[in-house]
Amino acid sequence: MLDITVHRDACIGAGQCALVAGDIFDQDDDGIVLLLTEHPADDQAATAARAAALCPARAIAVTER
Amino acid sequence: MTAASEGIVIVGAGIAGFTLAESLRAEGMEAPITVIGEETHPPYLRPPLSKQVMSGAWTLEQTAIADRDSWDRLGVRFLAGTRATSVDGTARVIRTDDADVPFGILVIATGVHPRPLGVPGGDAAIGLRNRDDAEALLASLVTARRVVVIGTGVLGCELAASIRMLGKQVALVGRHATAAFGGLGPWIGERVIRTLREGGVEVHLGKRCERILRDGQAARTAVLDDGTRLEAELVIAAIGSSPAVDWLIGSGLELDLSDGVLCDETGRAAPGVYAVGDVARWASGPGSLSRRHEHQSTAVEQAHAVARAITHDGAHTTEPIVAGFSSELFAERITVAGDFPPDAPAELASGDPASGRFVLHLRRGATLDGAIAWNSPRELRASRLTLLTQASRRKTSA
Repeated sequence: MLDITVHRDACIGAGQCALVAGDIFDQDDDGIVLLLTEHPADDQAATAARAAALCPARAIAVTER
Repeated sequence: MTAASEGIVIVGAGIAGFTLAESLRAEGMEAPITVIGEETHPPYLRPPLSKQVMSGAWTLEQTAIADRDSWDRLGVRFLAGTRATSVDGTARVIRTDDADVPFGILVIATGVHPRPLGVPGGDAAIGLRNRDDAEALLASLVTARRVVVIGTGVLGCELAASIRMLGKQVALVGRHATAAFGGLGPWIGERVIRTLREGGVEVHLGKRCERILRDGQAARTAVLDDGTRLEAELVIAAIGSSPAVDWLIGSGLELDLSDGVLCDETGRAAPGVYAVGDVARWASGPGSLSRRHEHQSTAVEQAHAVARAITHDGAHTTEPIVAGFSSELFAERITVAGDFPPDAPAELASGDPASGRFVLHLRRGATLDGAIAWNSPRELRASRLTLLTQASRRKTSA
């Protein structure tokens, strides 16, 4: 199972996450990250990890349990 | 035995160096990794230093992205507080101010140094690059009432706004007719200056600081070339930076160090030598022009790309990298992506400049060069997607 957490205070609105994993992340009107689902399906693990890796503010944490 | 199995040494422990170490392990790299870092702090984010940290919204500790044990958890040997002084490219050894470090593969991630002011008394001006600099600035700001910031780049403008938010009297000095702001002056320089002035920053344009008068070690007055005298308890120099490559001179490695470390579009600078982050000048595609990007997002993407290149020994696909950065001036949020050729005409892509929310597109032909979003980071996503698609297409057709 995947757990996603976002750190909205650190988010700078670069939008990388919504670009590479639009099923999991969106942005509000200020560009700040919105989590569409805290527990995406397991087959989304690689996509979620890529979004976290590319986040310039390192505002996304993905844990698999 | 491959070069990697003889040990990967990353010189520089900023976001590029740390991300690279993480990414190598994530790619399954099992070879020994050593990271040489001048600083002793755990890895941290640099961009908030001039924004959230300087305006008091964040503590310095909040910039940390990992704890001290993270190097151990990655199985990486971290040489904290160690400075690489030279490289022997023949013996494949890095000399440091401590012990020698042999390498199979070398990754250069030493970043940049703030450029000194270079005027009489200029060494009394403080620069901002790392966490210790930020700490020193914060300490000076406790008692300072008047602050002069020299330089209208992104850093200078952000510092002026953030320090103004602390209630200080702030004067910003720039030698151009408008704000330089990361090369975005031609399109949004005026708006940046207006934002700063409306926020209470006193802006002096078209002027150079030609001398700093001191009282002991501390700056007291910045004297401009038109005779203006700006009294201050703190003078900050934010006039750009130069790549930290001195230690590579005379290495015997075949490096082009004319502006940072020249690399191909995969980050390779010489056989078994790569460069990432602010110090690196990557070609953006086969046979294309090369440019350094002093942006955290580029550093992160380059680190992932080099991790793949090292792990798969070139047998990998490279993803196109679109440069970009975010800035904050008071409540205004500026987000940009792509390149900004000074002669590129701008067109309004969405929003309305009068409303304070808009996206500008820069193009010199059919392709999009870059996009500037003013209070519209969400809208920038479409522009970024266009830039990525274009870059992928260039790569495929090359």
